[in-house]
Amino acid sequence: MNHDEFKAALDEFHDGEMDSSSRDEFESHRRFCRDCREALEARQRTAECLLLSASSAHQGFDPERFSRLVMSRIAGEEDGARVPPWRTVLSWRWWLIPAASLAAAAIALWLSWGPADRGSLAADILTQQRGGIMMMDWLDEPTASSIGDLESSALAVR
Amino acid sequence: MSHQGTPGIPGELDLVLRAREGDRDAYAELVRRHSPRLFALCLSMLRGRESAEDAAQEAFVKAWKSLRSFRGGSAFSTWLHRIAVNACQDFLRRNSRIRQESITEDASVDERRLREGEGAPGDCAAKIESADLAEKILARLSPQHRLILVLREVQGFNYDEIAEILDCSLDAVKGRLKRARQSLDENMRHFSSRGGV
Repeated sequence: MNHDEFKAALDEFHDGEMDSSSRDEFESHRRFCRDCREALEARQRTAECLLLSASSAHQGFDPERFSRLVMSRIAGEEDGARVPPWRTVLSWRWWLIPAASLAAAAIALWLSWGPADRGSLAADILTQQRGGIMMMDWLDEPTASSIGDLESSALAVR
Repeated sequence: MSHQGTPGIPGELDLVLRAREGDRDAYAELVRRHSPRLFALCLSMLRGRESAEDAAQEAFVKAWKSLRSFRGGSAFSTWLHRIAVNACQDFLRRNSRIRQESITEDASVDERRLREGEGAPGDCAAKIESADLAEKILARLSPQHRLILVLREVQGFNYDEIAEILDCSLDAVKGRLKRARQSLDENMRHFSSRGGV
């Protein structure tokens, strides 16, 4: 290997990723090459700088407290995932599907009635109203007028 | 890594197997053992202690949920680190704007502090005497560069393990590590020249 090749393989030497024969070669080159020696020293200083930074990062970190936090989060998530049956029954989603089905069935029933059926329904209502008027005629005067007052006050409220 | 364990202290493999069966105490012990390293990794990427702790917690919760998928092909630590890296990347994606602001703000303060620092002329590393300043220099690197440097220099993972954690090829690891070191050297030189060296 020449100097440039050694320099290119500097990281691998520093990281201990070089095979033993290349490592021996590099060691003997380093003894005579100031440039490679200085580059390697710079690498080591960089590593020290990183270790220094990491050591300060650990200060104040409590694995015991952290472990408790993680385990309570796990417990919370797992217990939360197990929903009790009564909560399922009370959930609005549980009621939504039958309610929607019931409404759809009612609409379908209404639509399935022909226009003639709907007309007869209207006729029934009219008959009931007429029956009410005839009944008013049959009642004595004061009772009929009080019912009439009641109806008019109800209309006023509406 | 101890798989067998010493008498009275369960080995890692034993703990992992128990945790896989749903033993929460075993998993709590694994969290205690691995959390300092995982927290350091998250801190190197996210910088804020609170964010790092959140991401590390997220990683441990995810690991618990997918513990059954851990087949033991790699070390438990490597597998955990991979989950943590993904958790940090998710966090960075969610908070990209906040991150940029914090880096710019910190950098201007740190330059001033470094210029005020003492040390032998020409020797940048000697100038970085406090861990705080060393950490601040790292803050100028991209999260990806900080990550790979921490994995190698602080956590001591070899190239194969880093490739597994980052889910990339061996050549990609070498390339990324080289670029990260170049970037770190440039930042150190930049501070050194600004300090009137």
